[in-house]
Amino acid sequence: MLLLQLLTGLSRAAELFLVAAGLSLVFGAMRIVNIAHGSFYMVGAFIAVTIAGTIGGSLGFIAAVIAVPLIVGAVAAVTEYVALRPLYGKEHLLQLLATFALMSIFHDVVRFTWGERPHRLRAPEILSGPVEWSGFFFPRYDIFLIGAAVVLAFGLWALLAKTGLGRDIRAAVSEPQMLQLVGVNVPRLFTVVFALGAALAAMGGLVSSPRGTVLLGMDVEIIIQAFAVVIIGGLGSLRGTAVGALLVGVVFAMSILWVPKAAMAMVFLIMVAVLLWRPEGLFGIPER
Amino acid sequence: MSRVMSSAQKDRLFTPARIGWSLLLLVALLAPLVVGERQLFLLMTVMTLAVFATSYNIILGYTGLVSFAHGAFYGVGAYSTTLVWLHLGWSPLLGFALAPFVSGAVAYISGLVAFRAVRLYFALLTLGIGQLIYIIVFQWRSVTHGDDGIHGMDLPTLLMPATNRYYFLLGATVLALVLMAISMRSPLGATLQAIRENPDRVGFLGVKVKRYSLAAFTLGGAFAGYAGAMFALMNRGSFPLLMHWTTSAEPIFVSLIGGLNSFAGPLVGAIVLGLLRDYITRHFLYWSAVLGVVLLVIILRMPGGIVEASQNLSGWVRRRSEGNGNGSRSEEAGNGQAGNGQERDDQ
Amino acid sequence: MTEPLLKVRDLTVNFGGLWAVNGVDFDVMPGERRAVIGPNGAGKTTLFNLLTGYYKPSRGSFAFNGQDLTGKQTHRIAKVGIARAFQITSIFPALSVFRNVQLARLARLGETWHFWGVVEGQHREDVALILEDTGLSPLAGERASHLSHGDQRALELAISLAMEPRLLLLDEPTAGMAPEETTQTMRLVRRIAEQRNLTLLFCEHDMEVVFDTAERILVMNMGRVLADGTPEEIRADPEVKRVYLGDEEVA
Repeated sequence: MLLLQLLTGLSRAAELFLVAAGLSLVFGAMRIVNIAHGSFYMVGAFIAVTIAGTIGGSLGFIAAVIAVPLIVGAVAAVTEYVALRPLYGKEHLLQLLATFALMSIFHDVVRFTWGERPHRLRAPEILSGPVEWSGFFFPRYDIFLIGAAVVLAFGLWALLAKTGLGRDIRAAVSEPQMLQLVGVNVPRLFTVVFALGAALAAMGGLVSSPRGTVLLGMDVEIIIQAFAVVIIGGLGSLRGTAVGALLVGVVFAMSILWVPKAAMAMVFLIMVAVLLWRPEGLFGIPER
Repeated sequence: MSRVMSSAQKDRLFTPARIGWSLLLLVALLAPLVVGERQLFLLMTVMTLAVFATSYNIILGYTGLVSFAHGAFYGVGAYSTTLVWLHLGWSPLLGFALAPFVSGAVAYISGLVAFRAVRLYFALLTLGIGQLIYIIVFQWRSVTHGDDGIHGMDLPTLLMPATNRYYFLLGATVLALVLMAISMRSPLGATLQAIRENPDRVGFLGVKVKRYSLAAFTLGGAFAGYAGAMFALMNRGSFPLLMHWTTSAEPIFVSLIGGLNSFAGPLVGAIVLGLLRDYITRHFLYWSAVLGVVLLVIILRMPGGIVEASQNLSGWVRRRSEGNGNGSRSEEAGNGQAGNGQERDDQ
Repeated sequence: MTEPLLKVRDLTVNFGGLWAVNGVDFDVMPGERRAVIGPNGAGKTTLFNLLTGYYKPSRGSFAFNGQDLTGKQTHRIAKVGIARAFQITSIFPALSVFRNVQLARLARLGETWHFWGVVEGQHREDVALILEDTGLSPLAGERASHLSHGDQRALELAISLAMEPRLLLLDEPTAGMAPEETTQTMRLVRRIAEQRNLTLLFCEHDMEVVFDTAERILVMNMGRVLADGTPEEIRADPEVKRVYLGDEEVA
């Protein structure tokens, strides 16, 4: 039972990692706290529902996995260009509030397009059902989630460490003043980063949907948890996001066993504790 | 009322600002004679929002802090009123008097935690604290009735008719606004603005910045509770959604619309938002999107909000009518300085 | 023998392996005009940051007026009588010139916490005097962000003066100024210092300013003190010439 709960916690951590990674990335490179990040998560889930529903079956799921990040990434790029780019260099407050406005807009767009009833996204056959291991039954999908997150984490790490884009991003995170001096096209970089972050969030939305329902309010629900993760782990650090996601996911799952009503509160208590001890988060970059 | 006035303006008795306030008060006093009960409740909602938003202005507009916990303090105020009625049998009026102190205390404690963090993380931390309070209220069914909320609070018979309630709340609103205005026009208010502009420099002047920020946070929280109590009285009840962080968004929106740079901004914004929302939600389902678009437009085009835009306009008009600019004015309409004025690149 | 107003002993700070300020020793006598010079990166601004409590030293100490200020916070140090005018102008942009100075005054008098009263006209005479001294009177109602660079520097100075400091740290007061502005500014600074019996510690790149104004000069290089003495002594010092003045035009 404990083991099962631990697995649940890990798979939840996997979800959170996907979403929080995008948030942390955007903040690290662009110094923007994107409240609309949850919106991309939600939109991703809903688009997945439509695509998977239209095509049907396992193929539909695969199609969604490919299409969703691309579509949402594109939407995000446009959003960044229209709503956020004019605000660079302005007060951070304005940027924050702009993302808040965006969240409101996305919320209603989703409501308009898909209505208020909950939707379902079914996982393909091969990923459903239990897997047996030394007498215990574990949900196959949870394992898939964990695996997907690990793969993605590795992919992100590779991107950051090995590619030109990754090098630019890392420069943006640690030496923002240097960026333009070394000839990086900063606006374009920001658009790419923002789109990438959104795509990650959308993937998070997609892969977490089969375990629950897809409905309005997902955006608010996830953004709070994602914030908890990045606060704990530290904004701008991939390692921190991973650690934070693990902490939150596991603590939440384990708390459900003993203090079901206070599970979320436990997470927040940890967040407050971390902030009291290390205001930038466990691995966070200092604010300046 | 702009925060930087020329000496010419101060000496006149009938400043545009004073005329505006008086007219507003007059309209408010006469309203029950012309509108029906439903509209009275709408006006009461607007008044509550105005107090709530102005209390937030202390934190955001004056001190420059973004907090998402403000809705929680608002809810605490509402629940203070209803809970003491429900469990202790106290009169809601007593609860109303108590609410600001309870909210102030909660805000103070939250502030002690939240100010440990640097500015950007501060916002996120207030988010967490606000949600924590929300969750507590939501889950603690035995005391707060959780999701169901508390309803049907007995008001003193004098306050049962809508018109009487309206005048009571109007008086409460005026009192709150006057108190907040006095404290913000004081040296404390000026210091808070300086903290917003350049916290490091204020420290170099020998001022303990964190202490003042905490004071502003507490004061704002107390008045948020005051507004919450107003809500409880108006609706004869309270429910958890009041404390959700999205409630904290409302004063932000209102301040943006009305303008972050003046005392009257949130009031103007509250009136505009309250009336607009009521109208639109009755005819059109997608209020959030409309709000979001309006906000984006304001952020992108008129970061100073309506009040500053109108100040710019009146300043421009005045300059045109006076010929050459006499002395120095701080509102410069034509040269695109219609920003919040925070030209220092923060952090 | 008079006691030094500022005593700095072995002041050191290390940032991630870089000894930005390393074992710095010097004194500033009351009423003195002391300059700190050195190439870029010599540690001058870091030194100022240490002396105002913005950074905590890794080693060493400094005392002001007999009181040990090592490790104290900025607001404490400001209260004790050290004021600083910044190299990168650090004013309150959206507030009026008057308000900028008035705030410093309120802070000095400990009245910033007063939540009653109307702040608009308070301390009008004091502020007006300072504005006059710094030539800012006609701009009193202007928003600070609208001021020209030179006027902002003057405002910077005015804010520091309102603190009634005993020691004024000036971080490159003439940075970015044209020659006439420079002479004007330094004349103003000297006059104010004499009028108010201020002790000045300033760092500068403009050698003409330094040799004109300073009574004693501290030369820093790579975080350490290279030389310390009167302008003549410094001019004659071969080490200094080699490291620094060799590339500079000396008036």
